[in-house]
This record gives sequence, structure tokens and C-alpha cells, in this order.
Amino acid sequence: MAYVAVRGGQEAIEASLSLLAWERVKSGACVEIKDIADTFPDLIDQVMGESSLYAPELAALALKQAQGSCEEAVFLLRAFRSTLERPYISRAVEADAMQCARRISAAFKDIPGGQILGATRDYSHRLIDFNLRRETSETVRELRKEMKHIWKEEWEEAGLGKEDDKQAMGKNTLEISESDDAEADAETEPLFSGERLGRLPKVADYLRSQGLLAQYDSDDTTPSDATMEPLVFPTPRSMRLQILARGMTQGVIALGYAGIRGFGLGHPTVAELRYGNIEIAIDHPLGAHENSAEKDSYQADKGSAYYVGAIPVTEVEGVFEIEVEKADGGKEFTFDLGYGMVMGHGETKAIAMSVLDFCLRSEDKRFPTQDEEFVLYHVDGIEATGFISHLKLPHYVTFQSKLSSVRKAKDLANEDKSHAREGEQDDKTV
Amino acid sequence: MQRYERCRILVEGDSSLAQEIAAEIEKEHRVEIIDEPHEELVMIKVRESVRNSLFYLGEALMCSCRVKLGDTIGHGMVIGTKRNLAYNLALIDAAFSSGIAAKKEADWEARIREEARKLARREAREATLIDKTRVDFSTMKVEV
Repeated sequence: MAYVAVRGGQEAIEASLSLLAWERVKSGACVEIKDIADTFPDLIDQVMGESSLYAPELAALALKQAQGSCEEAVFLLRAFRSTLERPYISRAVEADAMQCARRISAAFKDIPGGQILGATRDYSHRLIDFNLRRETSETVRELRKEMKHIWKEEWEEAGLGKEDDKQAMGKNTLEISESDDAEADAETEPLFSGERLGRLPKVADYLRSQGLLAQYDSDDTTPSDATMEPLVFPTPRSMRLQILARGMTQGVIALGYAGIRGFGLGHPTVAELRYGNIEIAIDHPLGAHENSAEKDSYQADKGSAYYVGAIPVTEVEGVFEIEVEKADGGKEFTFDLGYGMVMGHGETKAIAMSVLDFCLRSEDKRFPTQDEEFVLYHVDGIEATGFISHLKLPHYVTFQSKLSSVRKAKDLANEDKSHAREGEQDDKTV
Repeated sequence: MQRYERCRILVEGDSSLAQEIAAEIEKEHRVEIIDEPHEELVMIKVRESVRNSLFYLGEALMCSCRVKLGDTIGHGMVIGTKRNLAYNLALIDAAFSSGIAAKKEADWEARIREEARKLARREAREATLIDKTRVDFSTMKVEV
């Protein structure tokens, strides 16, 4: 059947867009981009993660334009990124170089470096705080000031106070002022950037030292890139990790949950979950390090690279019990890991990603979570929402075809019934 | 001071320092802008820790600039849309790479180190807040 071009509806579409613009402004309220970025950091992280683009200010702008629709904001950001050139690929970030602001293990109580809860809702009561109804910018500033006053005393005790600053540098960058607005503005640096707390050893290294996890040499194979290459099965693991990292948060979580619940390979234990900043470095654009054998190593010749900034990420290593075949043909139990890393603070998604990474490495395809086509094609937000949304667009010709088929089938069925009835009548008459 | 650490302090520290140093370079030397500050992308490559292989986590919006100081090209690159900072970084990179301002380098490095101390102080303060959330299991008692 040929497609038939149809014209019309131009005025209605224009009126619809005007109405959409009206919906955005009709309350008369306006929220600043900075306010969105500052007050909804988790939402910003979700949009950036699914867009696969770290750009907090643009994510906030996209959310404002999209009137809070996460899927629309992701669409806008993905579309925007396609307009920009990408001349650089960063030096490989070593996962253990993260400056942790949070780091926990569900596998071991005592871990080198300790369990660091950081800022978490894990132990909070999930009750609506009705006091927030009365919150104003003024009360927020007051609360902030109170908290910093308490910390100020602790910093002074630790030799990080005002006098220490004056001695050391002549100026206190975080000095708390009761009245000076300019100084208050200067204090707007994030307190929880999580930088430079120090490297912490990996929990999985303990399992490796015990011979319970396999050791792997560095594999410097150039990764596949989902933004440049079509999805072809079987996919390399690098492609799978990239697609899962930029997958729809709830989509990845749903499939990860299914993998644990019985539609996958098993129940992991979170060996380690980390949240913090990773530093991004770019080699000299003229390729001064092309001949370096270790050019992909974060540390190798790092000093001459360009530091361009740090971004927050969540990383998870989930440990699974597996059965492997020994050299003598017998079987034994050991462990393997699943890996998850997402932009920003996305702990549930990172855990689910580690489950799916493990499931997708399996050669056993009994469950859908082990089928890479099933998982990878369906977790991408743009693919999924784009395809589902297209169902709203005119399908007049194709539906006419379906209508005609159903009518024809019904007519045939009715004819058969009437023939059958006529046959019955004839039988009775006889 | 190596380029990486210099860039880190200028990017993460008070941006007025880069502005001040760049202004001093502009005052003394003729600067040719090869690429005006503009937005582009960097793909973030990560080594995952399960198989030690590489994958792309995603991209970051960044701002870059290229300038020429004498015969030396300087690059300025920073995540975000800070065009002015990208320009200042490019100028400083060119100055340090060319050695054109050798007499001033010691003074600039001293100011960058001072900024590094402020940055370290800020980071140490943040670290104390995070460190307070470290779980002390030794306080738990075993019930008999």
C-alpha cells in the first residue's frame, strides 16, 4: 500500500503550539534556571544521565522548557548534543581514582577506608515534611547559616578555621558573614563536591587477593560508541555498558529487578557502591602522547594533560556467586562481578546496571534479561518514547487498511453463519 | 608546576586568578586568537574495574579556545560554558609553554600555589563533613 500525503491542520497545529506556550506561562510564575539546578539535583542528574551529556545548566533549561517532563528534557538535550562537534575523547578515567563523597559495601562490614555513608536517604523516614510548605528563601538562608556555624567550630578545632586560614592564606574563602550579602554570595560553592577526599581501595581487591575473583589484565581495546555506530548483535561489552549507562532510569531499574526476581541469573551482593567526582583530563590536542605505550592510563604522563573539570558519578560492583568448570572437569563455586556506572547520583540505576551487565555476559539465554537485543533496544529513552509516541501520529491510511480487513473478515464470517443457518433450515425442512 | 595541576587549580579555584594572570599577559604581549571560545563536546572514557576494559560513559559539554602567543599555541579547555575562562586558560597555557614570560612565571606560580592552598582548605573542610558519616562499628555491642 502506498503512503498518501495529506495536507491540513496547519492552523490547528499553530493554535496548539500557542496553547502549549500558554500552559507554560498561565500561572504567571517563573522559576530561574539556577533554582531548578540548585533545588532538583537528582532530577538534573537523571536528565543528564539519560541524555548521556553532562551539562547541568542545559539540563535545567531543558526541564524548564519541557515543563518538568523528564522524557522531553532528555529529547531536547540529546537533540542539542547532536549539533555540537566532539573533537575530544578524555584520557581513560580509572574507576578507583574517584574522590568519594559516599562509599558503602553490603558484602563486608569492615572495609579498608571504612563505610562512608555521605549524604543518603537510606536511613531517612519516608514521610512528607509539611514544614517545607512554609519554607522561604529567607528561612533556607537562615538554616544554611546555622549549619555552617556549627561546622565552623568543628573546622576551627580541626585547624581549618578562620584564623588558620588567615595564617595560611590571608583570606578565608568560607568565612561566615552575618550581614554582608556579597560575602554570602561568595559562599555559594557546593559543600559536597566530594573532591580530594582521597582514593579508597576497592573492596573487590580483597576478593581477588583471596583468589575468589579472577584477575584481568588491562584491556585497551578502543571502545565501541553507541553515538557513532549502529547497534549490531552480538555487541561488544563496551557498547552494552554505554547503552545501559544512558538508558532510561526506570527502564534499567525494571529490567535489573526482573533479573534478580527470577528472570535472570541471580541475586547479587553489592560489593561496593561509590558516589563522588571523577576528574576529566584531555591529552594535548596535537597528540603529544600518541607514542606513549600507556596513553590510556590515567596516571601515565598525566602531568602534561589538560584538566578540564570533574563530574559526579555513581559506581557499583555487584558480586554474584557462579559455578565454574575446573580443569579436571569437576565444578566449583566462585564469584564474578557485574559493573554499573552512571552520571550523577543514581544508585538504584547503577545497581540495576551491574545486574544487567552480569546477565548480558551470560551465554545462557533462557531469560529475557540475558538477551541483549531485548535489553539494549528497549532501555534507550529516545528509542522507546519516540516509538511509543509515534503511535499518536496520524495512521489514517494504515488503519483504513486494518478496518477494511476486519470488515471483510466479519462479512465473510456473517456469510458463513447465514449459509450455515440456511443449511440448518434446509435440514429441518427435509 | 605541571600543566595538569596548574589547570586544576585555575579551573576549580577562584576564576579571578586566571583573569588576572591573563590580563597581565595581554598587557605585555600580542595575542592572536586562532579559535574563539566555543562550546563542543568531550567523550568521557572510563576503565571499568570488572574486566579492566574501556567504555564510554557519555559526553560532557565543554568550552575550548586556541590562542597564539609568539610562535606558541595555547589551549584552554574547561567543562561547562565558561568562555572567558577558556580564553584565559589558553592564554596562560601559551605563556607557560612558550616561556615568553619567564620572568613572571615564578610570581604566577606562587599565586597559583596560594590558590591551591585555599582550594585544599576548602576540600579539607568538605572532607571533614563527609568523614563524620564514616560508620564506627566498634561501638556496637554483642548481646549474649
